[in-house]
Order: sequence, then structure tokens, then C-alpha cells
Amino acid sequence: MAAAMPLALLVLLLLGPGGWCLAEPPRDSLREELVITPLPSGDVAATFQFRTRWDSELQREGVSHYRLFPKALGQLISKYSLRELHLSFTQGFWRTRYWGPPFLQAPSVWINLGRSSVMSSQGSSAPLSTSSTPPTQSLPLPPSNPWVWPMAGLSVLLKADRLFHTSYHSQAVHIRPVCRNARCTSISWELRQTLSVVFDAFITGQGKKDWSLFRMFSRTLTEPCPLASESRVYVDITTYNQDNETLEVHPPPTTTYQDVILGTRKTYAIYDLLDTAMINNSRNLNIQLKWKRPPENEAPPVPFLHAQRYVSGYGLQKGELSTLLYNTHPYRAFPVLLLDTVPWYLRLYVHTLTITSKGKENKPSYIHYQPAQDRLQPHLLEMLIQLPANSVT
Amino acid sequence: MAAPLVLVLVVAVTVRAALFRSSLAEFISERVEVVSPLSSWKRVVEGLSLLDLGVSPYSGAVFHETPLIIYLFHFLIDYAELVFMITDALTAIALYFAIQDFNKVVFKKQKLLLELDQYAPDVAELIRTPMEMRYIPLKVALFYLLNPYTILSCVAKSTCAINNTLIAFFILTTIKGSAFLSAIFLALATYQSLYPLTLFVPGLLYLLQTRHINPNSAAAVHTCENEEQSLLDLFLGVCHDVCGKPSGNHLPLLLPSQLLGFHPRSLWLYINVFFYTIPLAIKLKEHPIFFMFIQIAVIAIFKSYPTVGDVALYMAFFPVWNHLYRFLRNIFVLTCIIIVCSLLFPVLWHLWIYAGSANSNFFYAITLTFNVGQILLISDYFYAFLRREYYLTHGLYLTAKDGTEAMLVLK
Repeated sequence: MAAAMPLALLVLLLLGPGGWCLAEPPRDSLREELVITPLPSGDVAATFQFRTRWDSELQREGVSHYRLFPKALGQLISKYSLRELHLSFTQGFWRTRYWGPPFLQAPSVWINLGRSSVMSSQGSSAPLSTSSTPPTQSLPLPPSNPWVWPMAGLSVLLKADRLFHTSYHSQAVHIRPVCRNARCTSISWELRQTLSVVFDAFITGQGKKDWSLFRMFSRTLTEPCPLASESRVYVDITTYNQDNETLEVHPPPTTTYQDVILGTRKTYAIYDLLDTAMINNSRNLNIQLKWKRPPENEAPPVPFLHAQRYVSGYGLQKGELSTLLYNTHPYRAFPVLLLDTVPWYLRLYVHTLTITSKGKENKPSYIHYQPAQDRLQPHLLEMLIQLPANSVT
Repeated sequence: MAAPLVLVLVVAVTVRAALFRSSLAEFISERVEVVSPLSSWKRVVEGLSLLDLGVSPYSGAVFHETPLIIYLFHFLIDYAELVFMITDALTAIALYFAIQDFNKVVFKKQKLLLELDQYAPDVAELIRTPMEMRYIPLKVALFYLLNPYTILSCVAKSTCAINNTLIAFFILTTIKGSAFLSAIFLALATYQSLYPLTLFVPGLLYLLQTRHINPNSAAAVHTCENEEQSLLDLFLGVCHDVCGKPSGNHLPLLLPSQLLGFHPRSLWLYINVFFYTIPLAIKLKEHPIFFMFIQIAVIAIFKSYPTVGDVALYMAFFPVWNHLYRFLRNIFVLTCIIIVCSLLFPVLWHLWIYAGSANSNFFYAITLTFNVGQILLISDYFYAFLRREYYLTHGLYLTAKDGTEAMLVLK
């Protein structure tokens, strides 16, 4: 007994001030979600989102224990003292007119590289390395390669050859700090990786609008990811109507979820992979959707405000950049704040800026223009414009 | 004399007005040989609209003009074409009266040297008579106004024309003998681009010498020199403080080439302009107006963004030295070089930029050839001038010791 006391004291001493080397590694959690949305034109959009939350102070030295959070990204953050990192690669264009508004907003800054691959990157206080490849080759990955996953859970579906025969393909990495408590005394880092693809109806469904996970990805879900704390698949069944029986989802969902997304009320069927009842029934989960009655070909609701931009002119000396802003509301005028950044290597002359609505000149209420400096900063134009009802500006 | 000058002015204004109204005006104002990033009209308009938006015109890398230009065109932007036609007319008028007075001075000096027996006996055919010098001022005005380079520069609304006007007025006031006014115009011209500073030396030399010809005391000479120097410094300082304050960015204006980020090694190429001043001053100290002509040509060749407007200014002086014609050796070759290069400029530019079948080397070669032509032209005139001076003092028909015709060698 007397010997146990100093031993206990010794253990306590070890775990006390010097105990940081024996402390638990910071907790991290992974949540994965897949949202499948049938689009009005018959194509199917699949959006993967993997969220890793890591309770660690990366900015301080001495972090060496990486589990779910990729080591290269963590080292990048601590070396360059990044506050946020947003990196996205996109191939193809989101056709808002046929598909409606995108589930995840497309990145705001576009740089056109190569034939049809575009890339956007923003980082605060960090130099960025970028690369571009023609679309048929392997995807250019950020240096850390956070897209290599243990082959379980939703990442099973990420099979490269199927993913590239798509009309639209976008993947993004977002890292940002989040507060752990209300006073924000400690932060944790959230890594959000998203992948949005749009499958062409003709390629996957052979002309019919039915789809299934196997047809799209040539794989089915076999088991949940053991590292994930949450693993779910959401299927958009807004057009499902109990009486009409327009569509049938197989296997039938256990729960549904309703929410207002982007202004419209949508219903989602939820398949929770961590629910043991889901996977146990069959060794694999292949979600299928069959249309009983062909859906009315309704055009997607035209958003009230949308914009389009094109380039005209030729040569290096004569060129024009035109931006069209559409206001499709029949009677309401909207004030719109337009923020535009143009790279410095395009020499823009602000005295040639003209704004016309319905044939007449439209003077903006507020203009802020910052001209570009060669190799230092791009042009920045910010204007508050009144868009008259039912017009093109 | 006034009537022919007015006629020439009317013709020149008509030609420019016709070109302003035609579709060529926009095409010409984009040409890189006629406008440079420092003198382009589009950039002036851009700077003014930036000022209207409340942004400093110097915040981007677009506007490189002086605040004086902003003030000038803030009120005159609607009459820009008229302003440029008037500047051309003013330049021609200034050159006309300057050369008229200069001819009188030349004739007076020639008479003085003849009386002092400074000339050799057989140089009668080299002596200039008032008859042949009668139409020279008109020819100078004509050469300037109807020079295609000047017309292109005016139609393109290049601010180089304003610089030319200031230099022309500087020459006029120097020849008239007013130190104060010539200091003012030189300061204004230097404020716009740094290179006219080199014209200070010939101007000073001229003013000193004319004071010598007129019987004045030596003290007046020294005060004149001090006065001119201090006026120049004062005016430059005043320009910096008063005009520089609204922009807060006046110093980079004086070094436009640095502002546009050139390689440091090429700094020596632009300092070239200043290198020639001292040797020319030593050699041409008796002939300051010729020195001024050579210096203007050196500026036009070696400045950082030369345009045809600069070339037009020194070309206007050719009638003043037409008595040197018999001593010019390469005039045919040089004329061909200048004309052919001028014609090839737009061709090679089109091939390089639009057709894509040539590259920048072609255009660079043409600019190089054009500059080589100009350098040859200036050195030819210099040689002819020196040769005439030699003949005047040593006689026209030189014989060697054994009686045969001697050969002159330039050492």
C-alpha cells in the first residue's frame, strides 16, 4: 500500500505536466453524404460530400499525428499559415437552362485552361500551385492526394472511368477553421471535399430515364466506411406523388426528409448506410429509380436573375467583353450588385464601359473600379445596377 | 510673308479635318508607330474617366501623362480635335518666326565674319545671300505641317504634338533672347518627358552668345546664366509641388521607362540621349542652333518610346540647312531607307500580330533599320556642316603640297 502511493503519484506526475506526449490525439470525425437528383432534362446529378472535422490547433508546432485529415494538407496549412483554402477543378459547364440551379454553387473565379477544363482556386495568404491536363487523362490532384480513400463506404462509387464520361464534373476541396464553442477559444479544422457529376441520360440509361447506382457507377454500396461517423445517401423524390405513382424507388426508403432548398420545397429519401438493417438485408445496396409514368417534361423554373458573358472582337487590339444580366420577373425591378474581376493581362479601358437596359443607357447607382497593375492585381469592378423588370441589361 | 503662311495653315487644317472625319482616324490612333503608351490619346481619356470615378489615374499601369495634361483636357475634352489642330498650327507659327529671326542672326554673323576676314578668299559660292534665305521660314512651316508623320500624329491625337509645341516655343523664345520665357517653356517640356532637359545646354549657349554680339556688359552675361538656371530649377520645383500634389505621383512620371518596368541594363540605352550633350557642346559651341537640331534628333532616336511625331519635329529643320545639300553624301540611300521602312512598319505589324506568320523579330528589325537610317541621316548632316565650316575657313579648292587636289579626311 505504501509502495502503491508513490507509484500512483509517479503515474499522475507523468500524466500531468509531462503528459502531453501521452495525451490522446485530437479527435476527428468523417461524415459522408451522397445526394442524387434527377434533373428536369432527364440527366442525373450526383453530389458527393465528405466532411472531415479535426479538433486540432494546426497553426502550432508539434502536430504529427494525422489520421483522417490528410497529412500533406495539414502540413500545407501549418507551413504557410493558411486561413482558408478553396481549390476546385471543373470540367464542363453547368447548363442552368436545362438542369436548373446547381446543388452546390459553381466556383466564382474561372480560369480557362486547355480545351474544356476550367479551374478555379482561391487561397488566403498562400501561394498556389496549379496544373491543367486535357480532360481525357487522369485527373490532376492537389499535391496531397486527399482523394485516395480506404475502399469502403461511399468512396466505393468513385470509380474513375465512369466518372469521366459525364457532362459535368467538378471536384473541390475546401478547408476552413470552425469554432468549437460559442466564444471561439479553440478552433477545429473542417475539410470539405465535394464531387459533383452529371450523368448523361443516354449513356447511362440507354434512352430510358430510369437509373440505378450500378448503371451509373458500375458499383454498388457494399459496406459502410468504418471511419465515418455518418454515411448517408439522399435521393430527390420531389416529383413523387402517392396518388399518381409517377416513380418508384427501390429499396423503399426508411425515412424521408423535407426541406426548402434554393426556394423550392424538396423531398428526399434517406438511406443511412450505418443503419445495420439497411445493409444486412442484401449484401449490397443498389438504389434504383423507375419511372412508372414518364414525367411531364416541365422546363426547370427559370431563375429570376441569371447572367451570361461573352467575348467579341478579334486580335489583341480590338476585343469586347459583354455581360448580359437577365431579369425575368414580370413586374419587379431588382437592384443587383455586380462584382467582376478580370485578369491583368486583359487591358480594359473603363471609359469604354457602357450599360444599356432596354435600349436606353442605364447609369449605375454606385461604381467602384480598381484598375489592374501588371502582374500584381486584377481589374476589380463593382457596380450597383437597377435591373428593370423583364429586361436584359 | 503672312499670306503664304496663312495659306499653308489653311491647307494643313483642311487635310487634318478631312482625316479626322474619315474612318482612318481610329485606325491611325491605334498604330504603334504613331502613338506610344506614353502619348496615346486613349490613355488620356482613360485617365480622365478614372478621375471621374474617383480613382487616382495613376493607380493602374495605364496612365502615364502629367497632371498638367489632365487639367488641360478636363475642360477641353470635347474639343480635342480642335486642340490638336491648334497645337500643330502653333508649332508651325513658332518655327516660322524662330527661323525668320535666326536667319537674320546668321546673316549678321556672316557679315561680321566677312568683315573680320575670317573666311578664305575663294569661298564666295558658300556664302549665303538674303535672297536664298527668303523662303526658308515658309518652307520650315510647310515641312512641319504637311509632313505625313505630323499629320498622322495629329490625327491620332498623340500628346507628342503638345511636346513638340513646347519645344518649338522654347526655340522661338531662345532665339528672341528672352531667358525667362525660354526657361518656362523648357521646364514645361521637360516636365512632360525628361529628354528636353538636354536642350538646356544649347539654349544657354545661344543666349550667352547673342548677349555677346549685342554690346552688353560681362556681368549681364553671368546674371543671365544664373537667372536661367535658377528659373529652370524654380519652375521644375513649382511644377512638382503644385501640379504634383493632386496626383501624389509625379516623380515616376519623369522616368516613364522605369515606370514601365524595363531591364536595368537597357538603362544605358536611354542615358545615351544625355551622353551626346557634352561632346556636341564641345564641338558645336559656336553653332548652338545646329547643336539644338542634332540634340532634338538624338532625342527622337534614342528616347524610350519614340514615335513618328518626334521625327517630324527635327525633319522640319531640314530647309534651314539646305545650303549643306552639296555636301551630303548618302541622301538618296537614306531617303529610300526612311520611305521603305515607313511603308513596311504596318505590313510587318499586321503579319506579326494578325496573320501570325511573322514574329517580333521582323518588326524589331524594321525599327532597327529605321533608327539606323535616322542615325546615318544625322551624322551625314553633321559631317556636311563640319565640312562646310572647314571649307569656309580654309578655302574651297584645297590643293596638296604638290599642287593636286587634296582629299579631306574626317578624323
